[in-house]
Amino acid sequence: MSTACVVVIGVLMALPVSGCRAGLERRDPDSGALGGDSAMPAESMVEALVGVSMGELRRRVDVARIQVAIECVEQRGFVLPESAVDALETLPSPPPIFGGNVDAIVRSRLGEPAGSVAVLSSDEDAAIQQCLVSTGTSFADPFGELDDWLDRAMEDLNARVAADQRFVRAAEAERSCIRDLGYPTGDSAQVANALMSDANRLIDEFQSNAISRSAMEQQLGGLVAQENALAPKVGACLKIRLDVEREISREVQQSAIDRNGAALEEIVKEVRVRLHDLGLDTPNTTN
Amino acid sequence: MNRITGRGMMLMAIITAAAGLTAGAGAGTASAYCNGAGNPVYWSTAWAAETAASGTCDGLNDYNGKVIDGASDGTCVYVRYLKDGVWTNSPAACSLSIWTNYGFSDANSYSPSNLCKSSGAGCSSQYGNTGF
Repeated sequence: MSTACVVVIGVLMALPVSGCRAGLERRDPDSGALGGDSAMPAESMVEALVGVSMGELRRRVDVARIQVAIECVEQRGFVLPESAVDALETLPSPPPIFGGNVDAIVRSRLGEPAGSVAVLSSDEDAAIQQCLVSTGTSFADPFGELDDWLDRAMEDLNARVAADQRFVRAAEAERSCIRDLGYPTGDSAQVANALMSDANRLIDEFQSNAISRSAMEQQLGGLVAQENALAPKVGACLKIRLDVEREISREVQQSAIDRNGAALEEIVKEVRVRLHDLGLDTPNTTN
Repeated sequence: MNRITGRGMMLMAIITAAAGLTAGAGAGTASAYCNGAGNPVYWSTAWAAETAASGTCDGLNDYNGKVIDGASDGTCVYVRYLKDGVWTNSPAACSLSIWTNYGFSDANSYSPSNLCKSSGAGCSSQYGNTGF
């Protein structure tokens, strides 16, 4: 284990996710921000028709595309080890709506590389990049037309939300909530950026020999503890606004469906056909 | 046959992202990810934007960027990037007015990336972040 990794472990003792290699970003799926919220109307329509949640279908498409990219790399004369394939197909759950900022800085700047890295030749890297780009254009997106419809249905969402008094009240309550935590802009990004700025400064000072490793570790540990203590509070502040936004979004989308539901249903049926053709519409047996 | 380690991609287009689209409130035009050393490129979707820190496209293996939410849809956004063969997330950005910073290092300065919604409602098409 490298010195850097030892440093990271020392610093991150208080973190829920530990380790320098395995386990990075393998968060509990339930920690994903707002992931447990009820489905939007169009998502419910897809799930009712296909029998699989929209989120799961999108994940399947993600993995299928990665497999196409892997095949492309192999066709160019390279071989991906099993472990690399596994790593590529393991997609992290979304991050929490607040938290993990100091962790990310420390891991990035002091941790070992997250994967089983070998030195790649320029030819290997070029093959990967080319496959990544080509897969993006060659693998038809089964949700393309549906997403276009959703995009059109929601295109004036920001203006509608901003004019809604429920949002106006919620946004002010959110700002007040975050101000009460000691951040005068009332914006969660200020909280995150302040923590990350402090973490970067400490690491800069250590790397320029202005402070000792132990001093850096101690202060980074304090930052981690501070962020862990803030996370549920900031998260609760954020949800005041986000829940209202989502409710208004749901209404906007439902209104669009009410006006033009037949067209959407045809689009969803076509999505189902495309998913079936790709073999991605099998019932979910794990959920 | 050559041997290669973990490199891959995540390609998902909930809303087709294209250069030049604005990303809603607070997301101004700026240089975003690196398309090779010294060549920052603008990147945004209808619901999020990402921008590179000045001077980060320098080929020194460390990338610093920032991300901002662009839609009042009740979900936050984040960047998913391939760091040394493992998909990794940036912290979530939930603000429509203040950018959230993030950064990482990568051994080869190759990190395909996506803008994603925290709700799990999909990610943008992939962009190739190289030369940072």
